[in-house]
Amino acid sequence: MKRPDSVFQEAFERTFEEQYPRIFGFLDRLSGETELAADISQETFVKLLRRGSMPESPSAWLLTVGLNLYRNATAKRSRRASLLSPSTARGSVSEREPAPDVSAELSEARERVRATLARLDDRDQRLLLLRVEGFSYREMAGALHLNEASVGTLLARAKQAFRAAYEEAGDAPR
Amino acid sequence: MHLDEETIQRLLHGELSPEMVRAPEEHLNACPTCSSLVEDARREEEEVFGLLAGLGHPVPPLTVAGIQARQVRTRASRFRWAAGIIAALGISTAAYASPGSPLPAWIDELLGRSEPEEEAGTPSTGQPGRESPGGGIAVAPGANFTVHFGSPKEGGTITVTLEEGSSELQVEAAVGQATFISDVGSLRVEPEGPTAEFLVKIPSNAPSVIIQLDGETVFSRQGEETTTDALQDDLGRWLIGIPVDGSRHPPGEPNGLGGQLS
Repeated sequence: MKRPDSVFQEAFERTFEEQYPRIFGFLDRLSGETELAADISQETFVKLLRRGSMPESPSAWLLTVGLNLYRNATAKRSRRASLLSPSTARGSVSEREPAPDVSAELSEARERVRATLARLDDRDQRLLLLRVEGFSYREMAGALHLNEASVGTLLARAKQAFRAAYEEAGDAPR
Repeated sequence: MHLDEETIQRLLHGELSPEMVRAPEEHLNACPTCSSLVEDARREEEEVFGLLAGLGHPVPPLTVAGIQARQVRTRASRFRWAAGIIAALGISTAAYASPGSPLPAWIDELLGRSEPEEEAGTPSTGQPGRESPGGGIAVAPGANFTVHFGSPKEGGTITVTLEEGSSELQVEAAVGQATFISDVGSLRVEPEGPTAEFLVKIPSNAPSVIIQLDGETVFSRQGEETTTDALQDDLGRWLIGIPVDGSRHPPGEPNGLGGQLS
């Protein structure tokens, strides 16, 4: 019979293999900052390791913890920015400049997508990005505390909102 | 009868069980309108998700060993902090062991033995997965414990859950800031912003826990018996509404703010 800690270790490794790329992918797109997303993803798994037991729904648990850490990081940054300069306090993580190695065209396209995303409310942003990463309705409902029965409808609305905002962003004078 | 939006999305995403998928698929074969809607939805999805996919970057390499190493570093750092704080404060054993004392929880947290912020997001408990920018506190509830909440001006919510296997009562400000004042047998939570959302996690085996809002009892847990007017959601959480400007609803009205409970 296996010891409980070795059962957990195996479950942890399996969960890490399955979920790490998805958690990172979600946070990366949400934050627009690869380093921050990597750091939060890692810390999320550290917390799971420290927990010592697997939650009922590991993916929803990881997403929730990851989102909490992300919010804390952005809130901390906002507070710090507001102390340094009131004008920078309003800038969110997602509005930061893209990495310099990205080509101008790609950078512009990404900027438009990111600007579009920033115009959506938090729930729509998260729904879309979770689905892009392939999370199931149950996982999305668990992480965002939604009624699972209405996730499809909310997703449809989020996509419509994104499209409308994207077209508007394209029409806007540069 | 045409397919609704939920069904169309579920068809697209394979989110219908084999039993549930049959009827919509049969309908699609016979209904050009719905077929066209599904096609439009598929195109829209490809377009939107294609754009969003372009925001991604390659996944940085990370191994389980890397996570374990980080855990060890974090623990060592927490231990140094805890040791310093304990030495500076000269904490007495009595204070540590007092029911209601937050010290065990603080020390546990510093040492990495408990994770209030992560537990706050544990989906299995049904807790809304939100940050706790306003902070939180964990206390040992002892034999009798009362949590006193003040009302934020623009109202809010207190969500109450029961935690199996936990020995600490936790209160977190999920939205808004709050001040936590702990005493033996009680905890006072004073919201600092206009609105607040609190999460209260009560150990399921706590002998007696009472939650008061502006001096009025809104929730009582005695042994295994819970008394409250608050409604429970699908996940079994009690949702206690904090009214705007302290206005009260009549007793019995299902907002968690009904009459004085005994």
